[in-house]
Amino acid sequence: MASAAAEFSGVSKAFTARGDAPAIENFDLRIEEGEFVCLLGPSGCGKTTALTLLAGFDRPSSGSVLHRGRPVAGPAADRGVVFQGDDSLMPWLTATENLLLGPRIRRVPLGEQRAIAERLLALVGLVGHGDKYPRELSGGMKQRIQIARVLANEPDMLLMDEPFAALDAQTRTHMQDELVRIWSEARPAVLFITHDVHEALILADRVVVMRAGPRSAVRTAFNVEAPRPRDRSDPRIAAAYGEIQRVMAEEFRRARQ
Amino acid sequence: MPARADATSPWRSVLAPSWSLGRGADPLPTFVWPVASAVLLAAAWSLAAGRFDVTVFPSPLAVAREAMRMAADGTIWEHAGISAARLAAGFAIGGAVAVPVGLAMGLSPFFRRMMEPFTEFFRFIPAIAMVVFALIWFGIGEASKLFLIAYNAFFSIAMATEMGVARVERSRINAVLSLGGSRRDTALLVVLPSVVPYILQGMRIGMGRAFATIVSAEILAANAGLGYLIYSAREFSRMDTVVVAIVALGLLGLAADRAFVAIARRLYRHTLPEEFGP
Repeated sequence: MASAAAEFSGVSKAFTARGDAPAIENFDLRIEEGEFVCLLGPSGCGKTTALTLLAGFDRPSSGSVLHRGRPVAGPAADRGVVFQGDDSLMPWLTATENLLLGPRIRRVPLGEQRAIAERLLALVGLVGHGDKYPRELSGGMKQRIQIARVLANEPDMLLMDEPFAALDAQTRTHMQDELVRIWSEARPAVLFITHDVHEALILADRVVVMRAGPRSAVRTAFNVEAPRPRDRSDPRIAAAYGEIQRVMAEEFRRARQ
Repeated sequence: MPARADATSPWRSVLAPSWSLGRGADPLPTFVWPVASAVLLAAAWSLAAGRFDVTVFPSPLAVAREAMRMAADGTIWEHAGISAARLAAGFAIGGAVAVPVGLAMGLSPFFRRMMEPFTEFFRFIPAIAMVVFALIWFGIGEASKLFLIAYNAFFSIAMATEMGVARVERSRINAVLSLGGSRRDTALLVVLPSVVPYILQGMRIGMGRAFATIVSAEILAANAGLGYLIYSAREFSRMDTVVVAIVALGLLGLAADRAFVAIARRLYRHTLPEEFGP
């Protein structure tokens, strides 16, 4: 069997300093090359923990986390991370300087960096905003810069931790459409974390629902067959929404117990 | 782009003159308030001084006369120049030691644990308590005076730097690591620029502490400087001279602070992150 873009097998992660029950236990998940997977679940179910392990920011307590068949040893440019808030942008750098951090670290020649910046600013729809500082940009624009910053490294895997959670509904819808467009061009594998069922259905090839934590793992998964770009009023989306919402409601109830 | 020191900026208390800090709009030009309070002080001072001898409590007029004399014959400039040079050199030495020490304390828990007992203890010991040791260790020349100024400037700069490192946004470090950066890249691309405003703030406080040291530094084995002037004039009961020297010291400090803020604003207009407060 060809190696997957990412594979969690029997992964547990306990934060020993806190002495609590493991956040995730016996977590299994396989993400194929080019596949868009949304990880859905109630807050505190260990979604971010799973992403953190694949990003390499943390180590699993047991089990294995593989990226393209190789154990994850730490953060690397082949797995781009889009963080939840805009804190991860450097406020002292312009939009262009922020998105060129990866090429700068790789010591890409300056002429080439200019070309990368131009191409990416166009891709994320921020032409003419490159010289602005993050505080001069809106929330949606800042998240686009984060996405562009990751794409500048041409990673084969995108890890996105509720990237649109802080945006207003209108901007969020727009960003989802943009993300689908960008993804269709570059086709990286994506692990996208959200607690918004609709968002998952608009974006994902596969929606994976986690159980309420602690000791969380995958409860069930749904394949979303509808072609992209998806219409939010598509009856197939509506039907899947009902089904996933029912499972989610159960887990939310369990989470509160 | 809004000016850095506008009313809504969290920077205003750092970057704006302190007397312009009001709640709400001030209809008067900014120079009115310091002038008004100076006039009021002079009036109260004159009234009080009238009841005492000039060797106990000199009047504003006596001080002004003495100031004119010292300005005319150049003595005040000479003393102020010598103190300013000492302060600049001592402050530079203190800062040059404090920034690397603060960075190391912030980056290495081992180094922090080793250093903390000393920094936590000695920052409560005023320079005047160290005068004797300074003379024994560094002699009666300039070195002992620079040591005392550097010693006092050191703590606030080192501690502010250490705090700045501790407050570096974790997700920024993670972002650089996941963009392919090394530990060294995180230090250069994230930690250093994040710490700059903390270092600047520490330096501002450190400068105040350095100024507060000058009298202690010039108390022994000095023959010039504002601190020396204050101390030696006392022996001749020249309270007017003492007041002139005190005023000169205060004005010198104010000028140094304004200059420091202006330079910091120029150099770090964009590097200074917005969330940094006083």
